[in-house]
Parts: sequence; C-alpha cells; structure tokens
Amino acid sequence: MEAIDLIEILTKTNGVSGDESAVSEAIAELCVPFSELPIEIDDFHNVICTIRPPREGEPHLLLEAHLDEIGFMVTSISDEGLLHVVPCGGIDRRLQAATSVLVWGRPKTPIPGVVGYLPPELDGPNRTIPKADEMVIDIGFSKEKAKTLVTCGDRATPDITPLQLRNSRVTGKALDNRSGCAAVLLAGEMLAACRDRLKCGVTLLFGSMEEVGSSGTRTAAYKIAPTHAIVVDVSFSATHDMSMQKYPGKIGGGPMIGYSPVLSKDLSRYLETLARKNGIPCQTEVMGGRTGTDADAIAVTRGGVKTGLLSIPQRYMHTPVEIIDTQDIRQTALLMLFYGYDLGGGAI
Amino acid sequence: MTLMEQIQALSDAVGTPGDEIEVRRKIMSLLPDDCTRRTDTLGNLLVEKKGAQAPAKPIMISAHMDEPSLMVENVDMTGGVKFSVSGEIDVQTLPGRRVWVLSKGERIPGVIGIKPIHVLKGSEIEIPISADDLFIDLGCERKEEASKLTNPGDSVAFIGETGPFGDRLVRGRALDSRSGCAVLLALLEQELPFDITAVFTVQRETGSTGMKTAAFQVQPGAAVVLESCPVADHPVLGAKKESPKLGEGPIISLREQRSFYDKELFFQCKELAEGEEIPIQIKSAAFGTGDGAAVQTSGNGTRVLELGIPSRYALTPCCIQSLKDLESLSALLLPLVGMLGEKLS
Repeated sequence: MEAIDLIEILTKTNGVSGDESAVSEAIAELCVPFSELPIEIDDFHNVICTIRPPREGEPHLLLEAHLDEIGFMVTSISDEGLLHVVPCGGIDRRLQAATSVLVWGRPKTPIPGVVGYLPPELDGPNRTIPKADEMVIDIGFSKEKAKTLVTCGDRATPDITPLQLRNSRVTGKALDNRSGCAAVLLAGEMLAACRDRLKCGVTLLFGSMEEVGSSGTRTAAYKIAPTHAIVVDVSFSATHDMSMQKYPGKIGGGPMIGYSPVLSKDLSRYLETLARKNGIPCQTEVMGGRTGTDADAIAVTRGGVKTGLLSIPQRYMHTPVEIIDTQDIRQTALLMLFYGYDLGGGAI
Repeated sequence: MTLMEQIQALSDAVGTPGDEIEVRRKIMSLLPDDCTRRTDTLGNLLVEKKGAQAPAKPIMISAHMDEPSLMVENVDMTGGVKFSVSGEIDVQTLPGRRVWVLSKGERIPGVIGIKPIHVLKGSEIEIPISADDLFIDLGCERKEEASKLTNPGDSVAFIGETGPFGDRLVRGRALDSRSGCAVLLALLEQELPFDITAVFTVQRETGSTGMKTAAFQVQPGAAVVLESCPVADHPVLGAKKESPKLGEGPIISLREQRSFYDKELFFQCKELAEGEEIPIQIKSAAFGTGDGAAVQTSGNGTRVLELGIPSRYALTPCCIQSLKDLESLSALLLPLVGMLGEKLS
C-alpha cells in the first residue's frame, strides 16, 4: 500500500463524528489482508484489527488513529428548503461561506450543497463572521423535496477529493486524521509481514468520535486492554501567520514525537532514539498539559497504559485545505514498525 | 450540446481579466458556421450574424468572458505566493479555496490557508479576514522553488466543478460570466429577424475595459448587456436589501451602482416579456455593476438594457443559477431582437 493511495481511498467517504460507518467499512476492508483475527467494527464504529494477539505475559501494543472528521450535522429543514446545521467538532466559521459540501443522507449518492452566504452587496456595512448556529446549507430543493432526501442527523463534509501539490504534499479534507489512519494501516501491514518474529501483541484501533471527546477510543481501548500504545494524530506545522518559535513543527520533517505529562517520557525518549538509530527524520512536540488527542483517553485506560504520541505535521488544520506530506506518513509508519519489532525484546 | 453541457464546457475554461484566451477559444469552437468573427486588440470577440433584415443601426448583445480572480505579486521567504485581487471578490470567501496558478501554460494547484482555529487567541476568530494576510501555498519548501514555478503577473483562478444541482439548477465556477456566454451562443444558433453583433468582452471584472473599446467599434443603436445579478433570496440569510429570486425569471435592471439604464427600453422590454408570457423580475436597487455603464457613455451614447441572470453566491466558485431563468432569458432574446430592430428602423 502507498500512503497517497490510502489517502485517496480514506478521504472519499464521510466519517463525521458519530456517523463513521462508511469510513469504518473502508478501513476494515483495507485491514483484511493482514488481520490475524476477524476484524471488529463495534457499535461506536471503532475498527479493531488484531495483527498478533499477545501470548501469556507478553506486552500488548496498541497503535491508534482516530477515524472521524469534523463536519456539520443537519438539525432541521427550513420552509425554504435550507438545511439548518450545527458543527460536529471544531469547524472554522471563518471559511465556510459559499463552499461546496456533500450531505451524506445516503452514503452512495450524497446530495451536493453550498453553505449559505450573503454577498456584501446585500449585507449591511458591518460584516461579521457567522455564528455556529447561523450556518445553513443550500441544496437547491423545496422543503417537500428536501425532506425526502435529507433527514435530521445527516452529516455534511466539504465536497472535495485530494489534490497533490509540490514535494509529495497533498491537500484535502479530513487529512486530520486519515493521515494518521494511513500511517497505522501501513505500520500494521509491515508488522504483519514479520508477525512470527514479534514478541508482543499488536492491535490496531481506528477510533471514533475523537473530535467530540474521544468517546469511541475510550471504550475500545478498555476492551483491548493494551499495556503500551502509540497514538497517531496530526499537529500544527507553522505557516506564515504563525509563530515559528511556538509552533516549530515542519511539514516534511518527519513525525513529531510528543512530550506531555500524560505521555510516557520513557517511551517518547525511546522513540526518539529509535528514529535516530534508523535514520528516520523526526521532530519533537512539547505540550505542557494534555495532548488534545486520543492519547489523553488511552493513557488512563484501566490501570494506565504507557502511551506515546506521534503527530504528522499539518498545515491549515480543520479547514478544507489541510496539507500533509505523504513522506511524513511513511516515516511515522516506519517508526511504529521499529517500535513494535523491539517491544517485548528490549523496548521500553 | 444541451445548455447545461455548454455551460459546463465554458466554465471549465479559465478566463481571468486580461487573460481570456481559453474562454475565447472555447466560444469560437462553439460558434455556428454562418457567423463572421473577429478578435480585437484587447481580446474582445466580435461576432456578426445576419438576420432577415438589417437594422438602421447595429443591435449589440454582449456577455463578458472574464471571471473574478487573483494575480501573483511575489513570493515570500517561506515560498508562499502573495497575490492581489482582480475583480469583485469578497475577501471573506478567499480562505479555504483551491486555486490554479496559471504559469507558462500550466495550471499549478495551490490553496489559500489560514492558521487553525486552535491557535487563535480570545476573540480573534470574529475578526474578518484581510487579503493582505493571505498567501497561496503551492507546497513549496522555500522561496527559490516557488520563484521557479511562478512569476509576478501570473493569473490565479479558482478551482471548482460545474454541474447539475438541486431542482433544475446549476452550481459551479465562473458562472457569472459563462452562463451569459452560453445564452448568447444559443441565440446565434437561431434564425434572427434582424442582424445582430454579439460581443464577448474582456476585462469586465476590472472596469469594463473591453466593453468601452468594443462599443466604440460597434457603435450600436441599442445594446443589450447580459450580466449575472447577485440574489440573496433566502430570508433566513437576512439580506438587508430586497432581493430578486432564483427561478422567477431574468432580471431587468433599472439601475446599478454607477448608472441608471434607459427607461424606455426597460418598459418596452417589460411589456414584451409580459406579452410573450415570459417571467421577469425587476431590480431597482443600486447593487451590482456591469458592462452596461461602459456602453451607455461610449461615443455619442447608447440606449442600454441590462438583463440579469439571478445568481446565488455570485462571484464565488460555488455560484448557483437556475436553468429555468436561463431558458426564459433565451426565450426573451429572440423577440427582443425583433423589437429592437423595429425600434431602430
């Protein structure tokens, strides 16, 4: 599997928090060739893929990436046929006006829409950024027809497919965190290839509802009961309008190894050493408090899990023009491969 | 080709102000054989079609070819591409867009991004965006790489797909110009009662430069200008001015921001539409601009009729128009040519 192909497949579908079944199925299908046990999609749309069940007394490594994405949820249909929506997760209200979206009432045939917008000529002099509850989606149908196509609770996402830019960089929607899913899938594939030599259990988890509080991952991690975990998410790569000092992450510079009170410092240091030893470019990301990722939930599962965090540097997070570098996905997967290979035989 | 296919073909072409060649070529390929055609110095396409009779003075019908776009200014230290705005663009709709930088015959994809909401401070999210803070990101590592790809003056167009939408609507990019071109092309395919000069103009977005010079060459007795007209017909959006509606017919304008149109033509066209039972709407508010004002004051002056195509989210790459309105506009143009021909004789 190539990272770019995975991004194509994984961003084609809807996976807005709480409505992830389409992306769950896509991921489960990709796991089939290397899963040792039947793949499980649970009631929360979490996908659990066992690469190697732990033997008695062995450590059990969980590799996790959340599979949900931010988006809109339809709350009602107005008399004019407009869809009133609320954000699912941290939508950027500044850049929704007059953008193309798909409303995923029926997964196979989503309805195209446009986020409603008032042009300056018809607005007052003091233009403001719309409030979260002021946003609507226009699907161009009357209320009667709209009711046959859309139901309250349907989700909407940007209507775009990935586009390759320079230097193995890709722009698209939901790269937060399908990039992480791609890295975990690649690591799973490589670990499965050397399954017989592993000295630890390895389970992949693609967790749901991270963008709305990690509820999917929390329950799945409880069920899996790992001893160690590496979480993959995206994090900030500085852009022209951000402080390089505060956000030193660089796109294309390799995974950002996280340091945070909730993460295992030993594990993070070990990952750094491992990266250096194997010539994998890496960076560090220091978070004084919580990480704002599924790592926060996984670390406190049951009696506690030694947890590390690898972040794929990303520009313009939570916008329809997120950018990642597919090389960073590859490097992140490699680092997880080396860690999985060492665990049970020397790794911390 | 159906009207929808024609609009799709025209809006897939890129035509930025001063760089309309792709659109002009597309239009030329779609023109019927019995038209004479000429491209002038600035790039306007002037097409003449014979009708049953010759009017005393030319009847000019126009649509513009250019779309609001951006232009590359320079490249900054990080490889970001700084741009200026060409045409009527709402800067608030720029962040989050995909663009093509048109350089040396290639379309180089890029995006306009802004820093994520996670790193904003306090009420920073409520502050409207300024174009000065925006850059195009081509994915370049550094300045040298971006400088090799693009040069100051390169045009930048918005990426978007055009296609059927909702209930007999069309959604897409550059519709504000291309649907007018499509309607004008459809007129040229018909048997006409009088000769007409169809003009596809350049640089409408940047001050009707093309129309000023085209009108000088044609010296029309009467001019009909096809334009898109912004509508905000959903009360829930809270428009501060009364807006025409999508799907209720083409809009006859009494005025725009810079000018009042010819009252006599306005009423005659209104009567004609009523007689033909073609739905029309009236716009009396002073919003929108167009090529109309430029024809009006050209040479000794020309009577101008502006026909607007109702456009939701006009001037964005997600403009919505109604096929019903476009069909009504098409249906109105043929008898209008007859009426203007009689009037000028």
